[in-house]
Amino acid sequence: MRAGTKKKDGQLFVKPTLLQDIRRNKWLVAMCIPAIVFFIVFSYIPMAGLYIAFVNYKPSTGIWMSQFVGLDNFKFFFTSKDWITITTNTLFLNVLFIASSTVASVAIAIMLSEIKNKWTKKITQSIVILPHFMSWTIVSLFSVALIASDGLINKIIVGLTGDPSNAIAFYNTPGVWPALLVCLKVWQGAGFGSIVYLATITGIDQSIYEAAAVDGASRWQCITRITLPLLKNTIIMLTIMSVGKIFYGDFGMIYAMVGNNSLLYPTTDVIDTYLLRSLQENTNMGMTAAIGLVQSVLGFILVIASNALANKVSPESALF
Amino acid sequence: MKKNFKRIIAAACAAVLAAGCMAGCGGGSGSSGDSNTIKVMFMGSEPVGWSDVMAKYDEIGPGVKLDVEWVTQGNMKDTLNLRLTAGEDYDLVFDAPFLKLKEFAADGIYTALEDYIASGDYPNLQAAYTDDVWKANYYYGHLYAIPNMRTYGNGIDCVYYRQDLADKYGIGQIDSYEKYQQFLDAILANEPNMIPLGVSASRGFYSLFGQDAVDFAKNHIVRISAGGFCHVLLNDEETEVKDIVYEGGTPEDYANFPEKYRDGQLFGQARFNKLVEWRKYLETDSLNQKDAGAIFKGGKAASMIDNLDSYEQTESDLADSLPDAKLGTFIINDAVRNMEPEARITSLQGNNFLCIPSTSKKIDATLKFLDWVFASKENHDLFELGIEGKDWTAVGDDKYSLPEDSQYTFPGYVLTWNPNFVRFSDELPEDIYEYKSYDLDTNGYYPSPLAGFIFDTSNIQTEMTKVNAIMSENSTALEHGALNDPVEVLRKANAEAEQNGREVIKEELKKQINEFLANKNAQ
Repeated sequence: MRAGTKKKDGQLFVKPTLLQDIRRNKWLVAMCIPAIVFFIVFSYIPMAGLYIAFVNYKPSTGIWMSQFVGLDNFKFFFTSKDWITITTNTLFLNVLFIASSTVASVAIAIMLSEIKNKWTKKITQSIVILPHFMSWTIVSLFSVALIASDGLINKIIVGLTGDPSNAIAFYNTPGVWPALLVCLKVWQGAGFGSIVYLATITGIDQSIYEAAAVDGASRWQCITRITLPLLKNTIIMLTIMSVGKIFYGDFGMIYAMVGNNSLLYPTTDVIDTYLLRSLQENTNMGMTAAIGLVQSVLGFILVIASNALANKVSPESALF
Repeated sequence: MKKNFKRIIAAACAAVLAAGCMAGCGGGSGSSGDSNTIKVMFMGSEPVGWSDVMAKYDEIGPGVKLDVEWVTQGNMKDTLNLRLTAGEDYDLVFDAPFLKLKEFAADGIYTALEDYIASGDYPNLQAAYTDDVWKANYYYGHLYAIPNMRTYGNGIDCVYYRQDLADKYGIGQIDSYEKYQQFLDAILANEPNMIPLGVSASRGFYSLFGQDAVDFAKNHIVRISAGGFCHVLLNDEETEVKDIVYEGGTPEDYANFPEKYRDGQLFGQARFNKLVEWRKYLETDSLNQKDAGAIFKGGKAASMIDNLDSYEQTESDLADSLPDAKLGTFIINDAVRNMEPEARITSLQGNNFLCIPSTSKKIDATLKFLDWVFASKENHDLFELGIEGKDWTAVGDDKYSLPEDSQYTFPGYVLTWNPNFVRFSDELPEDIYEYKSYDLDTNGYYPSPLAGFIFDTSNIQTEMTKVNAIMSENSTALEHGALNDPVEVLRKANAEAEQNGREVIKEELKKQINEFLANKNAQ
């Protein structure tokens, strides 16, 4: 219940003061304490260390005694001519990842919920979730067997067309990589992502479906008219949460797959891989912290903005 | 009400305690209080039988006890960083330019040792290297690190190839680029399932068609990496910098250089064009090949580029997977193949070092230990090879043989590597043994005019970072011959680097080299 809104019977809901609120719900508040302490200790106190982004950090003198350099640590990134390409790549890839993973996760959740046989359901669910537990390093090794120039996919292409010149040199063709990365991302994460949606679907009141069936709705109509609209809030909520990390390239994935293959940089170079490349010879804590700070601040702004948008379009699905 | 309040407080305390426990993990181990025990951090894993060696050391050693912590290679950089920046008490640590040495030396984390070495209190340690070597390993004007090096070089570059296939196609022993190319052509034409030359993504053609650094040095030229590779031209007296030109320069850029270099061909341009031509011998996906060694040893590639240090390993791996295969070795450099004097350039600098943190209060005990290690062959071999008679047996003065069940393997580069005490396995073929002995011979090297110079980039971080990003965009692909018109690619990258502050790097490099030369000549 949102504070200050009217209850159904017209009685005005009076917003309690913070103290009143705490007193009324003291046990609930007490249960929150471990989480609050956790976040203070591990998320808020370390934020003081962000100061490192503004100093010329020397380990021997420590963060606070190092020389203050203002915005110098940000310069190398924003004055390089690549930063726009890299930021665009990061955003573009992440938007693709978020959109395709969401669509795939919802589709998987609906399909799983439609399976009636208990065993088929359990086995299918285990299989689609399994890739989530595979490390990208392993994926990158066995994907060679698939997409190498003499790999499975090219053998199929050549076999079907009978013309070796149709083979795709994946590792030399930057254009195919956004699609390839999206496929891998969906393969890896969509099954795991479907869990929350499946839980939401399971929570939908069965009598709604029964009523629809009585009215003669087909299975497809049940999905489009009942399940999807009821999933909307969850979808928006999870999307807002993933938007917060939109300025982080998925480093683990992209670096494992692409490595130092510079032929693929035009489409796969994201902020994180660029940082690795430019700073691996001269490591500099200040500069890395500076870019980390930029990524976080931009992510924060995007979360606020998308939440505001959600508030406007469909208030009940906004996070806060 | 009061009772409830107590409960809330109790719950909160429990939560804080739990969080405190979590935050408390990760504390390091402190130094032991005993004034005769030094705390040491080595990279690698503890050798099997290490405790026996320690027991023997305590018996015959100089009375300094060791408390050794072994850190695996993958964790070394982080562990070293965390432990030393947190000011923990270590008396001796392994470090290297590929770990934290450059930063830690600049930041004063290590003790300057030049006065200790020069004092004469540690004669055996002092005798471990010549004065030139000690001087060349100064970082920023001080000896912050004691080198562990057996040779002035980085191993002898070679191509390992399948001698059985070379024989099959009538090529025989490969001893020139022409013969090597015949071999590659034969594989390309006759072995459709084989890659003629297997290379790793990170290295590409690596040392093939390398530039002639000795010839450069004789003409007062030094090749340096400083935001891309450049050639530094010194005046004839080698007292100051005359010009600096980045690779890919035009004839106008090279106007100050001796005649034969002006077209830029000897400065890497001919090499890059050659690599494009040789690209056909690589697999299509070479830029994603993680392990060239594996495809060669597995029989999928007919040759690979490496150096002689890995000869024993390569031979036994190949014999295991392909019993019919025969390993051939092509020493790439002509002068080295013929074991000529002054065949290779040397900076006299080590790749591996030992450092004493400035927090150590036992510098004398630590140096006493190191002095003991280099006092005699027996002392040295105890650490490097283990207990004689059990872990190894001496064969003559410079060889050893291992019994069947020997398990002791000490990573010599963390402590014992030294030119005065080297033993080789008695199982090496005669010619490889000769090359390895030649590798140790100081006459095989020509000192670089800038031996001992280290480019300190701490004041030009922003420019270095930007330029490194630009240059790394193409460097790997160029090393694989994967970009057509490589010189044009280089020139474009250079133009972009100029716009992003490379002038600043160049000026700083020039300034630092001039200072270095002035210092060197003043001595």
